[in-house]
Amino acid sequence: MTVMLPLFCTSIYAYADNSELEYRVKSAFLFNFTKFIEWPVAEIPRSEFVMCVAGNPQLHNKLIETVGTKQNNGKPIQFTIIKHPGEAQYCQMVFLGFPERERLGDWIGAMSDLAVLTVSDEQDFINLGGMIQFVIIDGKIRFDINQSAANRSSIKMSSKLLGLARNVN
Amino acid sequence: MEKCDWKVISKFGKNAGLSGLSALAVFVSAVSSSYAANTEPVMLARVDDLASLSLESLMNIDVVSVSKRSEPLQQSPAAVFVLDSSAIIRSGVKSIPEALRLIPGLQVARLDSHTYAITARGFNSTVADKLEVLMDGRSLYTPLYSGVFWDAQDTLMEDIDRIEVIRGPGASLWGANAVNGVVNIVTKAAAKTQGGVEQIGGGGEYKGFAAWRYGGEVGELGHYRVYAKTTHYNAQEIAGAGDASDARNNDQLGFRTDLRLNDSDTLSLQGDLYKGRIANPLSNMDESTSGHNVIARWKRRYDDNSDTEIQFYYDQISRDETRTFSEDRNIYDVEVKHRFAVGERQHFVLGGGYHTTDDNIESLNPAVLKFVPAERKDETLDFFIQDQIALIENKLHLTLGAKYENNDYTGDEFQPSARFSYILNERNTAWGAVSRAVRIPNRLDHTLDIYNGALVGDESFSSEEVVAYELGYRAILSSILSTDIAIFYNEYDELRAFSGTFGVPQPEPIRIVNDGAGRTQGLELTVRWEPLPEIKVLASYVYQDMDVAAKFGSKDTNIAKNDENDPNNQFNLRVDWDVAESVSVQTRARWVDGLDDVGVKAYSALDITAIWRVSKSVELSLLGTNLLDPQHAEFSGGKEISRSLTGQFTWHF
Repeated sequence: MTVMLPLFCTSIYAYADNSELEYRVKSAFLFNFTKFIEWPVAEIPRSEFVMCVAGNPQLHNKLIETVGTKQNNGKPIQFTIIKHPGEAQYCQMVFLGFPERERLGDWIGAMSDLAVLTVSDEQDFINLGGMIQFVIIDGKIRFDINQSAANRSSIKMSSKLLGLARNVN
Repeated sequence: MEKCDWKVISKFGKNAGLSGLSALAVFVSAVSSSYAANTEPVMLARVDDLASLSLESLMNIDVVSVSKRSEPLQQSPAAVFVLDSSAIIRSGVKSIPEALRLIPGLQVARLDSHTYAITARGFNSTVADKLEVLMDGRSLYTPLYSGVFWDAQDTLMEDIDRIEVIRGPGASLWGANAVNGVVNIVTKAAAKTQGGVEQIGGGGEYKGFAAWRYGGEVGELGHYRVYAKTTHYNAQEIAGAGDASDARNNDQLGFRTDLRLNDSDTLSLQGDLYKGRIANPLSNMDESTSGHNVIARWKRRYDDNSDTEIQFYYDQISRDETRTFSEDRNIYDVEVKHRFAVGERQHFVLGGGYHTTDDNIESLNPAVLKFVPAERKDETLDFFIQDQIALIENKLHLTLGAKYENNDYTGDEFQPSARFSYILNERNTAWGAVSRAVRIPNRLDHTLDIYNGALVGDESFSSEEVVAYELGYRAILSSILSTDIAIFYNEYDELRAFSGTFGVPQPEPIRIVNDGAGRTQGLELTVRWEPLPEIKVLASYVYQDMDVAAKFGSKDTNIAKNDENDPNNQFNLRVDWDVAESVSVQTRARWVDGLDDVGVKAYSALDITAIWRVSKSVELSLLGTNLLDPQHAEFSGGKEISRSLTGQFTWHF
């Protein structure tokens, strides 16, 4: 699902707006994932749970609208847009919305040492080393999991989450 | 898993209260799945409760209840259609003109093995001159006559990312010649064409063809691909016995590389080299086409709403018609574009460009046809601006655009347009536009000389003009049905005509003059229907009516024939059926009204393409075209297009 229609620059139809509902549901998924995932204990405990979005401001808006004031393990959730992989160290989860494969690869590479859950809806995200990739099957949202990528970053996924995934590798 | 199937019946009432979260009410009802006999109770949920639903419940919400692919275009204020890569690959078509047949609203008529007449909204001919055609930002129409030599345009069909078509004027952004429409062919980024593809096939209209592509990485910087293809066409038919003796072949190779210089800068380099031969039975010699081009495009992205792009290209074209003329041409073009937002509601595109072309047109039979002078150099400078304004956010959007250009033929030209879209709701959009566009004169209009001065071009010939009025409506009627309708009324003035009537003896030269005027009107309807997940139907109907005449006092007797090549009615139907996981079948049917004035009868054609993915890397396809009759004419000229059955083997490595 690309966010913007990657047209030859001067498109007259740049008002492309992706399905509101799709992003709302994906936002709900992102929040739900956090219930089935264990992050390694941080050296400096933080008072907030930080969900970050890169490359998809629309999803960021929908995340705020959909998840809003909900909490994660008693901690308030903060929603942040990040623009550089370096900023990811402050996030527990990063949603990557870049349609460009090479860019996705760069971000994933830059975050590989961090205990950050990476999620995207771009094709090939799993193959590039991302952890959770949304797919739409018959109009419904499913997800694939790259468990080894999660393990490398010391992120533990519950067996329930793995069981609900379409594919786990 | 729960048994019920969550479906959104109606969504997104407008925010009326103070709380942004609770005011947007989503009515979610649990309707029984198609297999369950008993109905689940209807539930209501608020949007802020979505996050409280379980993963299992979330997985049952249908988020693609509206046709996903058409949705980004749902609100655009123009008659737009985008043909995506998957539709091209499923169709199995082997050339760009054949791919254009897949696009509703385009008029595509094939004459013989290599000649096509292609336009939108009327004025079709083999030298149709009112369409702007681009491939990766390179203009494909020739300054010789402002049309496209379709036999010289090729690329690997698998590497086309999409073909965007705008019917109606697009001049304020796309430039002169975008009078009746714009065709924008965009190839895939090199990152999307990694690995190898080998393709061979033949049969029917093809003596044989082979294509090869390989894509890899350029270190850490980016990606590249290189490709080569050769295509050998059999001759087409003539109306009587025997064939048209117009067999041809085309060889082409090319590359594209996309590099990421840093976080914000990308550089693309690409180029093609091609050579083709076409048997000409009249001269008993082979016509030849050849050329090469390189494009460099640098883009800097600041954020989602702003970027700058600079593009340069060089295009060399050669053509030898063997009987009339041969042409060598160079084109240099540079364009700068900057996109930025002002506040939340305004999105600007600003840009400018410089285009220069020099040519050498050698006459092979000067007594019949020549261009005077034989060599010429022309320059064009242009500036454009477009502003998309959200007058009422997500309700009423206005797009204002204008292009100013200065060219060596007519001096200053100004092409403005105003477009609006009124978004009734997520499923219904109305749009309208008023635009002015011009067709700038070309080599033919100003410098042609036929029969030693009997018919001559004239330097006082000015631009042809159109003022176009358009209205459209798009509706997503249900989760499986959507429709797009557009009507247009175009007023043309200063159309090309002749200053007199051919006679013997001819007292004085006939000059090319702006003595024509006229109007066209029409309706274009497209319906998408997806009755089952494995079946997709696209149906379209085009009606058009043209009335073009010489202006009062003119001695022209020719211009009224301008509409003789444009069918009044045209139906198209495309059905994609995924028969099994590994087998897809595309069936295409069309009915095209007759061209009564030139004696071309209405015709129907049926094409079927079947693709079998034998394994992850091997694919077999069978492409049948014009299956309904042994041969038929699509255009005047006495040649006919024959039934064809082609087999193809594709190997991905």
